[in-house]
Amino acid sequence: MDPVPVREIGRSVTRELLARSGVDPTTIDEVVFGCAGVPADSANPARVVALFSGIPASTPAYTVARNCASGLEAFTQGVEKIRCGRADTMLVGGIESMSRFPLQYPRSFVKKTASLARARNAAEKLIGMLAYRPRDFKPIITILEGLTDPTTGEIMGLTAERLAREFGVSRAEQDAYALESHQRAVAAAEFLDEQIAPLAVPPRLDLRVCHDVGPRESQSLEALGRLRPYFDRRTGTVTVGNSCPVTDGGVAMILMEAEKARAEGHRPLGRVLGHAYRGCDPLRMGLGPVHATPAALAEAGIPLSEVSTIELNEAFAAQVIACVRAFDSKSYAESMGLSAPIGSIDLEKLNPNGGAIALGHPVGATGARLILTALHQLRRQGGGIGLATLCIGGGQGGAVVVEGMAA
Amino acid sequence: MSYWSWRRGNWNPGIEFPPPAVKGGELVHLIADGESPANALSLECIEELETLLGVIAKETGVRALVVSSAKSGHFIAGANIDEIGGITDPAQATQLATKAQHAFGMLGELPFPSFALIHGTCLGGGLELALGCTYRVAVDAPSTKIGLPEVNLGIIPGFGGSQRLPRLIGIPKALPLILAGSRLPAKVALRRGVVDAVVPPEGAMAVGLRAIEKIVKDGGRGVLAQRKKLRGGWRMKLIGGTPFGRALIARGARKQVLAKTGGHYPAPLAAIDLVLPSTTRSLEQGLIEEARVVGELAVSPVCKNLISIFQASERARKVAGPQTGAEGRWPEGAFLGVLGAGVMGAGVASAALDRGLAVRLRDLADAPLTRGLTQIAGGVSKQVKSRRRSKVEGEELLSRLTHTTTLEGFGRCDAVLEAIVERMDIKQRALTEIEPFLREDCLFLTNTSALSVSELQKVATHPERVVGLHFFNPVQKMPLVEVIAGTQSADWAISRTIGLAQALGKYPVVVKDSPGFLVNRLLMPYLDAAVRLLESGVPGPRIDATARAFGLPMGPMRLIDEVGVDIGVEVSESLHSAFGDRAAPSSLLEKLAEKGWLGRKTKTGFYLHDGNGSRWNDGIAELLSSGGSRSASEEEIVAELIDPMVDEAARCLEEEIISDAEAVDLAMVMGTGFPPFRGGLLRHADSVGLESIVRRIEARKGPRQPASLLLSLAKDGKTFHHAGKSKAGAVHA
Repeated sequence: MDPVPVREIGRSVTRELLARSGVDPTTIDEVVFGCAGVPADSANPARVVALFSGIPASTPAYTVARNCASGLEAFTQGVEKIRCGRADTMLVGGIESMSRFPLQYPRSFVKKTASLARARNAAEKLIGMLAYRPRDFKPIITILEGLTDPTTGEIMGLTAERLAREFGVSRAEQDAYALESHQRAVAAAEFLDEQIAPLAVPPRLDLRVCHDVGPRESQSLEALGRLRPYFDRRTGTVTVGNSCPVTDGGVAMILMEAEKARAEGHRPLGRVLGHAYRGCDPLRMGLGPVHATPAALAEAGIPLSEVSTIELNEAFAAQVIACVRAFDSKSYAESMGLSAPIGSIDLEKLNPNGGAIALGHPVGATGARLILTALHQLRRQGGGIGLATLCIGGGQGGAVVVEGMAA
Repeated sequence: MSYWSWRRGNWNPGIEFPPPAVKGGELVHLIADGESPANALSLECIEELETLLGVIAKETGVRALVVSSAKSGHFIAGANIDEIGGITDPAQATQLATKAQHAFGMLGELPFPSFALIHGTCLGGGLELALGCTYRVAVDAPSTKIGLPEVNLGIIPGFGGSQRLPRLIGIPKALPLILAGSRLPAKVALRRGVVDAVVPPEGAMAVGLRAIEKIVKDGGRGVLAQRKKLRGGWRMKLIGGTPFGRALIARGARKQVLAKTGGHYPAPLAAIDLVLPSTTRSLEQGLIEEARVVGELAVSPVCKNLISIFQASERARKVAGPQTGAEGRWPEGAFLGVLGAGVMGAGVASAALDRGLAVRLRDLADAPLTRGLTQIAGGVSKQVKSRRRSKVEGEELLSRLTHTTTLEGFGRCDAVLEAIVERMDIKQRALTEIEPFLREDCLFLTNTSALSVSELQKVATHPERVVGLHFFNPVQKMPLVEVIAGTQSADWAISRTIGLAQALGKYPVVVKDSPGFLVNRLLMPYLDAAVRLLESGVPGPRIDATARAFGLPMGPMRLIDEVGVDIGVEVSESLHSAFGDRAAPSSLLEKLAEKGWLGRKTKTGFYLHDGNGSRWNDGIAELLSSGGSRSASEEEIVAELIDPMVDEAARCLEEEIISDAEAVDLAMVMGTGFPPFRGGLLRHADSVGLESIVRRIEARKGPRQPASLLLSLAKDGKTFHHAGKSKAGAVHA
């Protein structure tokens, strides 16, 4: 299957959202999409998606990037615009096509090609052509560059290795967590399908993708155990099996001012209570949720104990477990300047339908996906408070607190 | 009201239309603004032009004359068709042609150069006027269509076009344009040399004048060089410039025309004879000959028949429903739901996407839905490959498509059309399932070919919105749709359905809810007659060949194979139970069905269909009760095939299934390919003579006896079309 471009991912979820919600596209004030790897052929993919989705040309659209939290950022942009009265209907979401991240020519190749193009005669041309070396043709895999922190030079997997060491997360714990993620996702297949807008793969539309392709029913602990550490081959514990795969995906949601939604008779999934972003050490970027969550809960005025479902993005099993330990740690709380631990996390309420290890992590889309899954889970539970939070490459955390509504 | 107005102007016209009058300006603007919306040319306005040009020629200080149109979307769309349709004397047509030839010729003989600034349709007489000008500048707008489509109406370009176009661009390039009646976009017209320059549509007058100024300033040298280059090339000279080359073209063209028309259409052949000597004899001679030929053709029955069908189709394209103003705004932002992603459903979805609607396609399961999507995408990629659409346009088209296996997401639809299995209980269930999700003013359309719309309405919460909309297969190619009003269908719903059909580019005919509606009800007696001819000993291939020689696109036996024998059996049984003995079908089709010979889909029917061809199935002989052979003349075969259709059509008129004979003719031409040069089924019957039809039907002594309408018309010596001339309104010639 040929990778689907970002704009088609965005268009297909947006069209489906507009059809299912019945919201008139002409009433949308603005469109915001998160996208971490903006493709070269559309500098502002949100605008392309909006126009291909039948949203009027007079409706503005923009794209935001906050790495892994791009989709979350789009969502909170919408919330803020409505809160301050600049809009009452926002279409927000996240879109990402990790398989369309390009391969780049090395700088040396570009330079040599440019000077060859300037050659004026045969001799200069020959010299120009002879200048190439095999290494000039070795492509740069931009997706690897994207997953490396330029301020520390460390790839994300190594930050997870650091957390595993610091919080004493063993390989067995990580693999067990990963297995649980697959099992929960497989069990929740039907629940997850309801949130999925089927995508027909262009250009022939001869395949309709209706399910997540990530969760593996046959996943076993033994198979996970056989994998070799990927980032630190000698002493490491993080493997491709207990990390999330980077994938393609998109989410679209409509945010509406509460009074207006009521007046128009919509039945929203829920209500936004608060959100926050906080920075942390780039070398320990996985702990971002620990920093952002208390701030978001404070804004919502809700203690952690009242939260009935948590979607905490599974970048790495080691990182999720480290977060759970840090939430409950007095010393980590003190290092953040808090007097007491934030609170303990009930593992039953944490990612009850599996997470990115099974479902995949389409970077710019994930933030919005976590909120959507939390809201659907709350709807199933008949209401309650939900938390969606994730760590952000570069050392940040983002969190959104929502109240779910029964159907 | 006069058609033409003129004024002096300068090279900077500003952005308003018409350009401001400037005393002593270097230009003369000649502006066409007739009473008809498309600036149709009439005798009167041609005479007016002649007088005006006499006056304009005396103006001094003029550097160019610019002919433009005040209508948006039209330059001059052609001669007045109604005027041509009404001509009964060849001399009258010849005189009209001579007048126009002369007036258009004056454009090129002024003391200063003349320009046609073509923005919008420029067809037939409109292009012939432009060809009279010294130069032509076309505006590159989607509405700009340039061509000589006269042969499609049974005449030839008679206002000088058959002579001036080949003189301009050469015989090898002019002949195909005239024979196909093609309508060229601005850029293609430039490439073929029909126009001399193309300008972008924004600020067309100002930009056009800039292009014109350039040509005026260099005395037209650039244009002439360009024309020479386009005409030139040794190959073109060899073909168009030598008697041998011309004879070769003539032979090829004649062969092609005959293969396409079966010799039923005299106009293209006449056009070949006119175009070939156009570059070797004097223009005067050529024009005299052109006017003579157009006089002959204009009064021929073929021309009258083609014009009557054209007028009927124009009316169908514009007809309003019973509640005017309720047609709804299609396709602007309109949203169509389609239930059933089979060949029909996907076909309708394609047509709707093609015309700018958003579509939500539903089927029960993933597999059939995906097949439908693939069908739609395949059509688009074909268009992209053939450059009929750009890649981006193709993506935009598909971007309006969503798909689902659920009932969710139809709440914003303006219409939902079902194209599912032809079974009343299943259709009723589909209706009741989806109705609670629909907006109150959303139409529910059923694409049924045989089931009763009124019956379907019975289960609806809002029966008034349920209307039948019967497409023909393949949807993209068949221009007819039947709009079926059930007993409870509201006037607004019928009007809106007609509006939708027109937005989809189809010709709607409104028919009453009765078994087989119109087209299938008329087709069945024809197919049954063919089967009975076969049984009486006339060889099948001979029946088909005779039908094709009559002008039908395919013979009846082959048609049954294409439609499917099983479907034939099904429809004829339902018609039999509705209409009794006269619709009792022969048992032969059932015998074929029992053997599993269902036609093309099973590779065996009346013909054996293998990969690249088909031949008569000799096994049919064993199914026939009598082994004898009958030698029927072609006339007899045609009469036996057509007479029952005419009788059934008379009954449809009696029962008010359809409004009038003209609508029957349009439906048969557009829905079944009944030969247009015969003017449709009932015009053909009129020309054959109703009395002889009655006599033949009575002589057959079968269960079918002439309908009372047919009897009374025949008795009084009247015809189906006796009601008189149809209403006015159409252009293009």
